Amino acid sequence: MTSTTAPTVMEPPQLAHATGPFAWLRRNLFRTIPDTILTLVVAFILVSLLSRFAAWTVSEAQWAVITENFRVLMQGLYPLDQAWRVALAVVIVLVLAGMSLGIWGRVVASTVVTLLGAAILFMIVPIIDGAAWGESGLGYYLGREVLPLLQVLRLPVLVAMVCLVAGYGAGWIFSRINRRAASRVTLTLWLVSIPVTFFLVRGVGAASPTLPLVPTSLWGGLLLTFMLAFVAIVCCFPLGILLALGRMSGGTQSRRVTRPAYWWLNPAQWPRVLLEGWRNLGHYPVIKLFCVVYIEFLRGVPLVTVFYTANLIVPLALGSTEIDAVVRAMVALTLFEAAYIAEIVRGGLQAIPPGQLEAAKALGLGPIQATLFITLPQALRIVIPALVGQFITMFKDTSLVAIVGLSDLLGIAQSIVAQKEFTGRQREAFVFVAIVYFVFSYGMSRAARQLERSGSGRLRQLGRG
Amino acid sequence: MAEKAPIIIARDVHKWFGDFHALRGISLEVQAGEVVVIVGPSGSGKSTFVRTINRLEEHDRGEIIVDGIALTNDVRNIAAVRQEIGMVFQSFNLFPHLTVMQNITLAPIWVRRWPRAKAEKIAMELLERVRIPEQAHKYPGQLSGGQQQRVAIARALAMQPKIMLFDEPTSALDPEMIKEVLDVMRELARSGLTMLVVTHEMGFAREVANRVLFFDMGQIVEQGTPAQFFTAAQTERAKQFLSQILAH
Repeated sequence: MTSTTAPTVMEPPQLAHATGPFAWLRRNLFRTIPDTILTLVVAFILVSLLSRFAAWTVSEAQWAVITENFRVLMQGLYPLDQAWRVALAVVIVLVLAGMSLGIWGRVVASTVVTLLGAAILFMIVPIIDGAAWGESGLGYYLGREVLPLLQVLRLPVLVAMVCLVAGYGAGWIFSRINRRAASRVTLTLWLVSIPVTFFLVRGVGAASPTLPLVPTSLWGGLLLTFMLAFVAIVCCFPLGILLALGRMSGGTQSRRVTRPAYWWLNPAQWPRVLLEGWRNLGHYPVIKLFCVVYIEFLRGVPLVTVFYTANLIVPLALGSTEIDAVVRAMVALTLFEAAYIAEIVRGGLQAIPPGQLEAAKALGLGPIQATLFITLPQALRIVIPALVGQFITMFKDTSLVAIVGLSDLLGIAQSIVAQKEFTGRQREAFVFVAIVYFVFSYGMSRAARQLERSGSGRLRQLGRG
Repeated sequence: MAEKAPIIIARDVHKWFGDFHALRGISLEVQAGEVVVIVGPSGSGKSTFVRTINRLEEHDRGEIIVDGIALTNDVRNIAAVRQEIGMVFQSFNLFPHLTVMQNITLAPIWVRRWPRAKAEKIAMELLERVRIPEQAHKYPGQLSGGQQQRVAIARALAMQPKIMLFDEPTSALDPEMIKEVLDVMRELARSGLTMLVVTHEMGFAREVANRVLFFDMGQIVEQGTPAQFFTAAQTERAKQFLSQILAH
């Protein structure tokens, strides 16, 4: 702008940049008069609804029901002397999760700080002696009721955070050295971890000295919830992809039927249209028909009915009750969710421009190669958010197995409050269950968002693994 | 050129889209090494015809024989023919999830079953030929339109096809990028490759084509050397088309 002929540079209009909590409140809650009214009304409703709940939480709730049953809530009736196997499986999965975030996630420092902070908090707080919290009032209540709960949670949370952070660090360093190798190794480890954790928890045989068989009937609590969700997620994903491909298949085989407008008003047209419809049915491939019927049927029934069917009708049909209940639930959940996964994947496949498949064909790739290398990888990238959403739904849906008599986290909570000594402790038990579900669902959703934001979610970075 | 059997033979090819009669009896013979440019108004069936040659569109009547192989429903024939034909699309259709190098080597590795090292060596040579070797490890989304189309040409050439089909290769490009693509195509034409080019670039047609076909309403209305076609078109429809093209 030294010369007078230079065009005038217009400064962009300055936005109000006031910061701080009060500025935030003014900007977001009290900007206009209607805003203010709405804020006050909502605040009133929230306060009146939640104040009693909050009061209950800090002065009335007796958390002993959780503290005393903590192990059952986590593991069910899994034998105590074998509990280390479950712990080891959890450690494996957590370290791998941390590694994945370290490699693919653009993990913000704040996440690590939060995790470490939670770990430290859970390490320090319970050390303070309950007596030091005062003889009466809030301090007394917290020291007597809440402190034992925190003490019980201390070790698990501490171990979990340490595993996650250690895995994250390892993944981060590994990916700085060789990103490609890090991705490959981690993917392989995930694949290997599926059978490893399953057999670690289940055991390899009754005769094995180190890993004796623990029948699934003894699994319970969060362990069962995780096993159900884990197995179902791992199995329904490939099945869903196959169903989606099956439903998309054969589209080029059936001939386009052209019907004159309002043909149904003109009886003279009926025979021709019916004949064409009949011919088309012949073109309708069996596989596609099967997939459509499967998907639409399972999407049309509630999950509970599928659990009941698996529980009651399958043994009847097979003439035996030998398949154990947990496996039946896993199969039912897998088959049910595969239908939803299939529709999500189909959505992704339909979003791929037809030119992609044409280019693959023109290069001489066969239909299977074109799907594996071109359309499917792109489609899956597109539907990552929807898939993760479905997986989270699935994790929460496992709670329905409580209805068919399995003792997952919710089922255990139900049977605990059914005991005489814990009568009236429903609130504590179910609030705890809700918090556990929330923590893991939110964690999954956060992790997914970070994977998505990182390279692997973006299209152009695909092949980089 | 005429002593050998034509590399592409089309006899009375018809194609319907529903009730729309897109191709109405196309008959054509193309000799090996010939560069045929197809022009005509939009909707005249020129793209459809080019796409029937590697069976991206199925023809409903007539026959198409490419390099001695008849295009029928036999999947093996289709696969064999597609290996001999490279195709370049208007919208590039590069695979966005693969690098330039992976785009080019995918088919040679999985269809031709070449070892990766060989495929990558040939890919590098082709990238040099289309003058963008430095982009090998970028993703298509990081390239300009002209660069993408040149990658698409390299990708098609990597299969070492006998025939190249170009379906309006410059129509989606900004004017300043058209030249870089046409330069590559000119060089290909000089190298003796059989080419079928659907295009609106009349300058290119005049300079490079051995023969110009004029399509209208699903038929070949007129054909001849560029000199004949551009200076002394025989049919009224072709004259009208040329006057509109040259007027603007």
